[in-house]
Parts: sequence; C-alpha cells; structure tokens
Amino acid sequence: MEAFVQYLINGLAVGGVFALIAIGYVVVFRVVRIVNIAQGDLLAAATLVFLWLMNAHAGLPAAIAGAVAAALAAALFVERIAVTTGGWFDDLRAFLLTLAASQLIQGALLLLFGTQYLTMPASAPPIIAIGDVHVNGVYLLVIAIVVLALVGLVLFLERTPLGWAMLATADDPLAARLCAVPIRTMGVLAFAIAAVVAGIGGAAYGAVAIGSWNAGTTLSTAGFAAAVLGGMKNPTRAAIGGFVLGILQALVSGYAASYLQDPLTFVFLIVVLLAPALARRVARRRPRRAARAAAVAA
Amino acid sequence: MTARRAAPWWLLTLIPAIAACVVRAPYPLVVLGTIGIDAIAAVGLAITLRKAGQPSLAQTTFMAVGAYTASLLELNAHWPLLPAGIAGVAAAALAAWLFGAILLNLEGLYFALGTLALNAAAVAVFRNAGVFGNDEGLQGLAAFHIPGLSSDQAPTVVAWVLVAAGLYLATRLDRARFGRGLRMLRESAKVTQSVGFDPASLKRSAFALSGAYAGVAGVLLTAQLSVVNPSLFSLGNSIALVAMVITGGESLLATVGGAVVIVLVHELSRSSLQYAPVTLVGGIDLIVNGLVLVVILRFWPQGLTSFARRRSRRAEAPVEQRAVAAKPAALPVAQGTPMLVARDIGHRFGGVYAVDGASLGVGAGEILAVIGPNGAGKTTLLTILGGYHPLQRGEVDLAGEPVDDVAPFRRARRGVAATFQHMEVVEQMSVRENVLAAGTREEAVAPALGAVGLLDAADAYVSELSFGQQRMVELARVLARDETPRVLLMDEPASGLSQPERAVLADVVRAFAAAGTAVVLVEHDVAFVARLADRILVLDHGVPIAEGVPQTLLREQVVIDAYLGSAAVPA
Amino acid sequence: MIVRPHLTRRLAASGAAVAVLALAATTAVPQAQSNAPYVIGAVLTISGSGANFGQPSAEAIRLLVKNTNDHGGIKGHKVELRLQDDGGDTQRARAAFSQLADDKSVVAVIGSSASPASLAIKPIANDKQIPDLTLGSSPLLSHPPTPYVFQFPVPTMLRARALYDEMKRRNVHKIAVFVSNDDYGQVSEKILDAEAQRAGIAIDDTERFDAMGANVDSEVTRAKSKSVDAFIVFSADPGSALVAKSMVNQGVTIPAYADSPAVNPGFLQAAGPSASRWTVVTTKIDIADLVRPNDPSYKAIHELVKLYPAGQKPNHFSGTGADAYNVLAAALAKAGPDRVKLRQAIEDTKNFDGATGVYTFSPQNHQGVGGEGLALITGEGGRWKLAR
Repeated sequence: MEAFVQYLINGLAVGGVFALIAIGYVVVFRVVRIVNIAQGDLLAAATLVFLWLMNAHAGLPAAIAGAVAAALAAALFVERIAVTTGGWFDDLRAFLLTLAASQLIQGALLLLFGTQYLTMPASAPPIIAIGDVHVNGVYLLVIAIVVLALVGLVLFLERTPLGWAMLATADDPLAARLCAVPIRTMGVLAFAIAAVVAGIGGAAYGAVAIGSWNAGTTLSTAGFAAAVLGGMKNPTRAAIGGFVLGILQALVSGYAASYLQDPLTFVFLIVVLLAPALARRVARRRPRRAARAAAVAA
Repeated sequence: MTARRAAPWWLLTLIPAIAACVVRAPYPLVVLGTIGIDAIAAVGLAITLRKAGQPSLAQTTFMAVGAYTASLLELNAHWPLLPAGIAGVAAAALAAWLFGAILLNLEGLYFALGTLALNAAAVAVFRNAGVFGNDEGLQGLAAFHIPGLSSDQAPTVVAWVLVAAGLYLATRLDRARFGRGLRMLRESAKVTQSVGFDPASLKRSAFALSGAYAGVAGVLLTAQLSVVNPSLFSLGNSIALVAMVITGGESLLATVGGAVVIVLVHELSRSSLQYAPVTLVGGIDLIVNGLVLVVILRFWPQGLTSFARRRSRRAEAPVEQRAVAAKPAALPVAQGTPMLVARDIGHRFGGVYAVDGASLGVGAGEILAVIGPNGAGKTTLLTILGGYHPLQRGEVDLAGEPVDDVAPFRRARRGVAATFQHMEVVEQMSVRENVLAAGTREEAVAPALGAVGLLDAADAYVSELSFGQQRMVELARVLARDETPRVLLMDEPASGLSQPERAVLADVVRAFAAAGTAVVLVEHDVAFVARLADRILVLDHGVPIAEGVPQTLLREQVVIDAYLGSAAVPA
Repeated sequence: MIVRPHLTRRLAASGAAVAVLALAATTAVPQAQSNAPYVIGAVLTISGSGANFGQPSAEAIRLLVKNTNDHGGIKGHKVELRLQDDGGDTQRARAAFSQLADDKSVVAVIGSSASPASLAIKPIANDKQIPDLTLGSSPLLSHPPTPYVFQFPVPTMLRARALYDEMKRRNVHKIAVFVSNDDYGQVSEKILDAEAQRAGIAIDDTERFDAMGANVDSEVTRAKSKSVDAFIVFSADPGSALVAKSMVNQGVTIPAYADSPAVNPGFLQAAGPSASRWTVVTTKIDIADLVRPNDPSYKAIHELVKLYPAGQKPNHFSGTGADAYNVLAAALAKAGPDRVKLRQAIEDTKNFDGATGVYTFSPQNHQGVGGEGLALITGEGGRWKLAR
C-alpha cells in the first residue's frame, strides 16, 4: 500500500511538470494554431538557468526570475521562427519549424552549459514522513505551484480584458481583427504566457530533478500527449491530462517495468490522437434497416 | 492528338551509378552510397507526403523493419542477401500497411504526431528487445559481392541503380490511375469518391508503397555497413528525411537532389568541425541541423523544384466546336424502371433541419429537377443521395437495393455519377488528366472532350480555364466513364454558364436520359429546368411542397409563393 | 504532372554536387615531405547523448597532442590531430572513419567512444588495414581479437568484480541492480549478473531506466520494497545522480555502489550528505591528488593533470583517451608512420604505465589493461575520498 501511495505522489509531482508544459501547448495552439514541440526545451532552458543561478548563490527570487527570463527568450525565438501564414502544408511547416527551433535551443544549451548536468546546491530537503511513505516536501510544493499557475491562467483568460482579447483571437481571428484586436501581438503574448508557465515549471523541476541540455525532448512529448488528452483547447483539461499521464507513468514504472515508460507515453499519445476519430466512426453507426423496421412495427 | 510523355529525367540518377563503377576512393563512395540510400527512403516518403498529403515522421521506422528483418534472416536462418532483402522489403511494406490502417484515420498535423510517436515507440522496442541486439545491434551482416567492384563500390552502385528503378516506378504509378487518384485526393476527397476511388484505400496503398521504399533503403543500409543498430533510425534521421523531401519540392527527382543537399551539408559541417575546439562541436552540430530546416522552410519552400518551369498551354477552344461527339452507350434497362428511390430523408445540422421528410423517386431515362429558393435544402438532399453525408434519417435505394450506409465511392462503382456545386475539378492537373481520373480508357477522352467542346484545351491546366469551361470538364469526366452511369446527380450544373454553354449542358443531359440514366438535377434556373426536366420537385425549408410536371407545377400558387414570398397585397 | 525541369539549372546543381564531392576527395591527397607531420585521426562521440563518454577523451587527446608538439613532436615530426564527431550515429562514424582511412597520411584512428559505432568500424579497420584504438567498452570488440583493433577501457567485468569484492567484505548478500537503458547499461547488466553469481550475491531486483528521464522515484520505490542490502548502479550520466537524489527524497539509507560515470561534480551535489554511503569504482585519475608517487599510474596522471587549465580536471574517460594516445605515440616513435609496422608496434606494447592502468598487448590479447588502475572512492564533505 505504501508503495502505491509513493508511486502516486511521485506521479503527481512529475505529472505536475507535464501539466505545466501541456498548458503551454494549449495556450499557444489555441491562439496561433501551432503545435510548439519545443515547449519542453523552454522548460529545460529554464531549469538550467535556475540551477546555475542557485549554484552561483544568487538567491531564490533571482533564480526564478532568471528561469522565466530564459524561457521567455527561448519562446520568443521560437515565435520568430515558426509563425508564418497559410494552409494545411503550413501547419506541417510550422510544426517542423518548431522542431528545428527545438534543435537550435538544444544546441545553444549544449554550447552554454556543456554536457554537465546541474542540480540544486547541496541541502537537506524537507522530508515529510507519512507512515512508511517518505515525501520530499518540494514535490508537494510542485503540485501546489501547478494548481496556482493554472488558476492564475484561467483567471487571466476569463476575467481580464487582455485575456478576453486572447480568447477572441483564439476563437475567431477574423472577427477579433475586426474588433481592433492586434492578433499578431496576441500570438506573441500567447508564447509569452507559455514561457512564463515553462519558466515557473522549470524552476520547480530543477528543485526536484536534474537540469541537462537534452531533457526537453522527453518532456515535450509527454506534455504534448497530456495536451491532446485535454483536447488541445482547455488548459484545465490539459493540466489534468498531465497529472494523469504522470501517475500512469509512475504506476507502470512501479508495477511493470520502468523502461516501458517512454513507449507508454507514445502509445498513450497514439490512443489519445485516435480516440476522437474512432468515436466519430462508432457514433455514425445506424441500426440496420430491418432492425429499424422491426422497432417501428413493435 | 497524341499524349505528350514527359522526358525520362529519372535516367539522370544512373549517372552516379556509373560513376561509382569508376571511382575507387572509398570515402566519396561511402558518401555517395549514403546519399543513394537516403534518396530511396526520401522518394518513398515523398510519395506519402506529397502525393497523398500525409506527412510521415516514421519513415525510418520502416527502414528499421526492413533492416532488422533481413538481418535476422541472414544471421539466424542463414539466408543469402537477396532473399533476405526481399523479405525485409515485404515486411516493411506490410508494417506500413498495418500501421497505416490505424494511423491514417488522422489528418495532417495529427497524423505527423502519430507517426512521431510510432517512431519513438519503435526505437524503444528495437533498443529493448534482446532479439535485436539492443543498442549494440547485430553485426556480421551480408554485403554485396559483385565481381569487378570493390566492397565500397558495390553497395553504392546497387543503391543508385535502385534509385533509378524507384523513380521509374514512381513515375509510372504517378501517371497511372493510382497516381491520378492520389492527386485528386490531395485536392478534394469528394471528387475522389465520386469517380469511384476509396480514399482510405488510396492512402493505405500510398503509405505501404512508401514503406516498401523504406524497406529497400533499410536493407541497403545493412549491406553497406554490415551492422545494424537503433542509432541509425532515430528521430533525428526521420527529420533529416523530411528535410530532404521538403528541400526537393514537388518533383520526385528533385527529392533526390534534396538528399544530395542534406547529406552533403551534414558531411561538410562534420568534417569542417575537425579543426574546431572540442567543446563547440556538439552544439554546433545541432545548430546546423536546425538552421538547415529553418532556412529551407522559411526562405525556400518550393525547394529545388523551383528550378523547374511549368509549361502550360492557353485554352482557345470555342465551345461550339464538336469534332467527335460522344454519346453515352445505352443502358440495358427499361425506360421508367425505378433507379433511385429516397424515402423520408431527414438531416439536421446542429439544431436546424436542413431537410425534413423529403421523398423522391427517379426512373431510368427520367430527368427529375429539384428546385426551391435559397436554403431550401436542395444541395443537402443531393449530397445525401450521393452518400457524402451520413444518412441520419430515411432510406435510399439504388435500383431496388438499399444503399443507406454505402460510402460514396461504392455508390460510384455501382453506377452513381455526380457533379458538384462548388467546383471540384483538380486545379493542378490538366484537363485530360482530370477526365482520365474517372478511370476511363485513353480513347474515351477525346470524344468526351469533343462533346463539350474542349478538345483543343486538352493539355491546359484546369486552373487556367474559365469557370464555364471548368464545368464542362466535369461533364466530360462523366461522359468519359467506361460505363454509362445508372444515376446522374447534378448540383446546380448551369450556374455560371453562358447561354451556349447551357445549350451544350442540356444536350448532354438529354443524351444521358436517352441512354437510360436516371438524372436528378438540382437547379436555380427555373426556366432552364422547365424545358429540360420530365418532372419537378419543389423544396422549401427542407420540406417538399409540390411535385409534378413543369407545365402545371410552375403555375401553382404555393410554388410562386415560395419563390416570391407570400406577401399578398391586400386588394 | 507536366513539369519540365530546366535542363541547364539542373545540370548546374548536380555539377555543383559532384564538384563538392571531388573537393572532399582531394582533401585526401597525401603530402610527400621528409618531415611530414604524423596525422592521427579520432572519431569520437562529442555530441548527442553519448557525449559524456566522448568529450572528455577528445579534450585529453587534444591537450596531449598540443603538448607533444610543444616538445618537438615525435622524433621531430609534428602530430596533427583530425577529430571527427560521430554524434552517436553509426553511419556518421562509418563515414568519418572511411574519410580518415582513405587519407594515406593518417597513420591510425582512435575511435569510437561508443560501442555500436566501434562495432561498425571494426571490420573496416581490418579491411583497410589501419590501426584502430577503440574506447568502446563492449567485450565483442576484442573477443575474439582482430589484428587491427585494440581496446583500451578497463573491462566492465573487472570493475564489477571490484565492487562485488567490496560488498562481500561488508557482508552484503542481496542487492538491487540499476542499469541505464543504453548499450553501456545493457552490456553491464549481463556482466553484473554473471559476476554476482560468481561472488555468491543475490540480485533480487533489476531496474532498467532511462538515464535521461525525469526521475527514478518509482524504480527506487520498487527496489526499496524488495528489502535489499544495497543498490548497485551502472548507468550513464546522469543516472547515478538521479538514483542518489531519489534515495534522498524517499529516505532510503542503505549503502549504494556505482560505476565510474557517477564521478561527476553533479553527483556529489545531488547526493548531498548521503554521498558518504556510496562506494564508486573508478580509475585513480579521478582522485589524482590522492595517488601516491610510487603508484605506476602516478606519472601518467600528473602529466595529464598539468595540461589542463586552472579549474578543470581530467576524469576517468579523459584517462582512457589519454592512454590510447600515449600508447599510440610510443608506438609511433618506435615504428614510424607505416600502418602495418605501427600495428605491430602497438601489439608489442608491454607494461606501459598509463593513467588508467598498465597496458600489455599481444596477438591473443587486444584488450590490454587489467584492474590495477582501479580504486574505490566515496563522497565526503563534497569531495571524493578513498573508500575504506
């Protein structure tokens, strides 16, 4: 039983990071219609900068600010590269451009930080013991941060004029334009929001895990799977998707085999992608004519 | 009018094969061989990506299937290279077919992401399942032994010969019905169905074909390296293949050029970094990869095909010219036999009923016109009859057999032909090719084009024709069918046509009716149908309000009210 | 499609491609001069996920080459280093090796640092008859021995054995094994299994995990539930640090043993005070200050350490690369730039004091070093100390 609870908490903490990445995907996709596969790399960049600053004894607030700044820089870079106009092929083109941006960011991180990985400066973490279950207090903090970020985002989108402008752009760019909403700026803002979320997530991730230049790839995929689960539309559902995926990974890792984690994410992703299409197929099935006639006669 | 054949540019790819027989230096041979292998995989990918419009990031996965299958057969069952290779290609094609069946339910970007996930999952399997040798992979694989060629020359020569063969095959398929079907698919799924292609089957076939090419590339890789391991099939390599296709642009030959460009860029960047400080090398490599993609995608989307020029012909044919007119062959069915019967058709879009309880029946040789004011639900009804909307309520019979849930392409194969309100001709194909796509023989094209007066414009691109002429192409496509359709559904065929063009249209419709086709015609132009139709059905707000012969029907008050509004002026 | 490519431009494009290839080929022209430099090739993984193995070796070799040249070269001939990155990709390694082997002025190649790439290079080295000094650790590279391939890393088997011997000393009977999910981890798993049986230690749990993953909490939880006496970790970076961190997070206080990749400043930080419960096997170069002057590896280690700028140190991977270069340099001094003679000279190497051990090759033994250069270390106060 304790093992199960331990897996659960492990999963929630990692899932929290996935949730933050997923939220970033959703915000960008809704406004700009681009799947930003570099989202995980934004977080990795934030993590590295955060840990670097912490190791340089810059203090927690400065380190967090640095993390967000790094994510912002990376996000605006991606925006510059990937946002173009156009039809179906340009959806693919934009996606490939974010893929290219991801490689460029990873290259830059490799140049800046080398192959060394960074961790928090040595300090005893607050271990909270609940029975036989030992939890690093920072994990709980991560979960709390995710929830706060999510609430903050939803409030922003639904209660502030700027948030409404963004939602308008997301729902109907043409109409938004007609109402004098600067949609190009809204696009940049979407990336910026994704970056802030990634920055905070990066700091949290650095506190519980390790910063390395290539952490972005796995994180991007997991975050994307979570976002798709949330329908790519709703940040709250995406966040839930992130937690679900994190828990699933932890459980599979715990009860089956740990190297199945990554394949699980991918299968999960495929299933989630296929589900709407298959559901539509099933919904379209109509009862056979004979059955209908019998139903009418009865 | 002879068909013009494009020159065999694919023969150019035999030049590297010949060069490889002469050059002895190993390093250039290795690079050339790598380019050839990647070119095969890239051309295969181009078939799926460009021709079928499905962007796949899993091409290296099928390369891996081919490579590992061949390797395992060689090592464990001691098969020689050739049969093992063929088995590898077959395995790759089969895997592509199977995964295609699952993934091709997705569109565009989501399909790309699904293939990305497939690629990653496959790499995980190859790395973890012991039978594949894990990360170290398998060693000691068979190589090509060709007398007179060194161990570096042999795989390179074979690779480029296969590139040439692959291009030839792709070109032949492109010009065959399969290729035309794919091109139609990219432009319009509706039209593809209406000429009898199953879009899902087309896509699966294209994907399986790409898989076969990937399998060939994978087997060649094992013969070149004598080892196989998962690092060869990473996501980075998948992305490189996509970059090659995009660099190439539309033309398959240019895709080979794309392979040349991408491989050379990587080789040059790697060898020029020999002199750089060690710590910079890794990062720079990634940056080069990323930059190449960005530069191509942002600044050169046409790719190498932009070096090509399109030749086009101005359409000059006046409509009256009818050199050799086509007449649809008579159907062996008695006049008036019920062909298409619809009962109580209902269709909702959200909360609104577009069609609510419409029934109709058309017999062989009859022309039924469906008229009504805007928004009456005429087009919706017609598309339901064709099968392009799922049937929500009601029943549809074709020649006495129920076709409620039958897909449009199957109805097309059973003799239902359709023309659409919004132009559904394929812009990027020539007039001739649009007609040929209907699955006809070459000989049927000229008479069909003659009947609609487009004989002289046969090789022009449809995008260059006038609206009316494009309509005529649609008609010609129906005329050119091997078998006269049993039912012809036409959605506002006369709209946008000039008077002479309407006359041609009316003639064609009458010719079909004379041959025994049951014609259902949705039309706005009441005068046009008044002279043409045998019976008229009037719809208003989705409900049939009157039915009868033109002479009496059009005088009925309810019809006039529907069109003009019933604001009766009080006396 | 009726698309007619413009003939002139297409020919120009393919002509350019051919020209470039020709250019690449001409870089292979050998120089015929009397004091021509000795050209050494190196194919190492400097980018990608295997970079942790390849970069330190590359750096060490570069520094040593510069040092050689600063002291007049080898018998008056300068040494020229051509370093190529294979990025962990077998095809690139193969092309890089081919390019180097093609160039008649290249006398030998050090490479690759990754086993899959090295396995692809092995048949070519023998085919083209150019000496290949490999830094890959797969036993397949030297069993059976092939004439032109020489293997330099200390065998994983000996490192595993050193740890198991220590475990026996400390009465450890049941363990959980953690291996990274790559070729290093996979090969290690088999060796750890075999050596555990030999040592009479029971493996109650085996965890294969992604060294690049987010964390290994679930794996540690599961291993913990099996009530073992100790963990043993053979993982690429940053796997060992992940395990250490996870153990701290979950309050797991049993001892842990690890292979040399754990020697990384990030590990000490991640483990914090718990580092004192870890015993790591590595070559003595990682604790260079603690090596005694009468140790056979003292000289090689300190000559290497001197070459590094302030604040940077060589590690165990650097040591392997350095040893490969030094053996090669000694053989070059004896035999000159003829590939066949050079191969013989390398094979004739006996009792060569390297930074990671004493190297002896023979026609039957192309895996030249034993476990004499190994040491067991542990983390104390943020630094590595000898364990005992």
